[in-house]
Amino acid sequence: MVSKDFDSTLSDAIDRAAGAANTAGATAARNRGRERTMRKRIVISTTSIILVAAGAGAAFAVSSHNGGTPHPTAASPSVSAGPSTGASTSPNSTPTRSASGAQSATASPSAPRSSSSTTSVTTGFEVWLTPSQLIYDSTMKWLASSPTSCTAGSFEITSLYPGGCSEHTNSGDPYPAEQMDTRVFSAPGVAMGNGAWAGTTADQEFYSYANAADAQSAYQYFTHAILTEDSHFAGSGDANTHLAVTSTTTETAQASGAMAIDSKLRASNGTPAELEGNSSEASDRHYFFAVRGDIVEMILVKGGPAVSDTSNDASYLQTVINALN
Amino acid sequence: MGVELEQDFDAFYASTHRRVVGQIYAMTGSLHEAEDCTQEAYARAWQQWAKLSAEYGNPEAWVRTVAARLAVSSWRKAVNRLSAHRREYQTAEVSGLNPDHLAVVSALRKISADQRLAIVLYHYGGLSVEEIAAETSSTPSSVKARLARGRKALAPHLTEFAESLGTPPPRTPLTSEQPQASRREI
Repeated sequence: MVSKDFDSTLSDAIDRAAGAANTAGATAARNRGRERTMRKRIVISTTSIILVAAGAGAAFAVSSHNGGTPHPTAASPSVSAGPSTGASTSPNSTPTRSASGAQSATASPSAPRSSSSTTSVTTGFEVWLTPSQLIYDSTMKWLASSPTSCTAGSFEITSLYPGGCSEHTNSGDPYPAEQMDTRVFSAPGVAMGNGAWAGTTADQEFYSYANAADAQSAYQYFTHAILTEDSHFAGSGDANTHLAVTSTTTETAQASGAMAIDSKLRASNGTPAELEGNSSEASDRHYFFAVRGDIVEMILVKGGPAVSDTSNDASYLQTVINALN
Repeated sequence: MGVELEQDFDAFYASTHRRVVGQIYAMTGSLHEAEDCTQEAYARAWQQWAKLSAEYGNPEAWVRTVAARLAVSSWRKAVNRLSAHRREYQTAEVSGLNPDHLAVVSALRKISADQRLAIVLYHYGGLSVEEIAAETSSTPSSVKARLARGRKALAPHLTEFAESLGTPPPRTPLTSEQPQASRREI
């Protein structure tokens, strides 16, 4: 057999791909950059309003819209807020963390935690869980990012947008959402590795659909696809040990229009696995889904085996459901 | 920003964009993802173009580094494995790729991201070990280790390329005048 040249084959493949690439253009890149700058300013401004609103003890209420879309009806803070950032603007007595759980520049896992973090917080769009309401908070000490929102068809890189857009709204999805609102939680105090290859994180996401039927279909689609994904990992190997990997996905709790699912990757020696050639940034994933009206809510916790404790799934599922009620 | 900066950025974009997309494609195996990561990297470059073009010696390397990091970002795949599966099944999205091309691209996806980045920059980008170390904020010895381990990891998937995946000879850094897309035997 004639040995083929790796360099030339790789170069040829890359050149062909480069030639086939869609060039959005420099103007589009510049516009995207400008939007980014503008969005940062908006986020900064919004964050300051939330901080002041929470500290002033503003009461939030949520009404249903279009079959269940939660919207704030009384979110008028008694104190006006200017465009400012940082813990120093918060009237809360725990400067390392706002009442909404938003992470500040000085936040740390050992910092005092807000005593008012026992209720959901509205951000002008959806109802968000506070870190203390998130599962495993007693051990993870979650820190929350500022919620973000993405409209239909969004497909953005999220590393500069904590809690930014994801791929659920890609065109071509069987049930494309009209909007996605996300908040990402991190657990910086939990060591990376041993399954938490990229750290331990959690997302709370709301997907808004055109109608309740689409939301129900999407809910069924998500949960069914996850519950049947084990077969996709057949033949996979661990990136570090090259041992065979097995995926085990189970439904751990169910309620009307709600479901908890646990999914874990294990190497043949039982250790948390990291897939070769696939970005399995966590060995374990723990999902909580709920659908109400035209909204699907998902909580996804990712990390090592610690996030696969399913003993409280049934009760926690109710917390997830409550966020939609 | 001024018109001159815009023109400067546009010229930079036009002369480098496809090359960066190709390199990121080799890292991700998905042209769509490569396009998106690259476009995002250019957008970020524009946000600080005045400083980047004036103070950073090689803006293309900066863009490539940002795009590569985006491609392997944990946030990027933060939702669930479904999207990853969908992308996994879309590796043949580039028309005109023959089985050898697809085998190489597919094999690259089976090695770790840092090894993949080193392999692509070295074998396609034409960067030296020292340049790769500088671009990836690592040391030459780490880059050498990644290259060696990457080739070793690729070998079982690319048996027909075994001979050209041998041990590389010592290399000297490229000068700024040399094209990055030079081709060499290793």
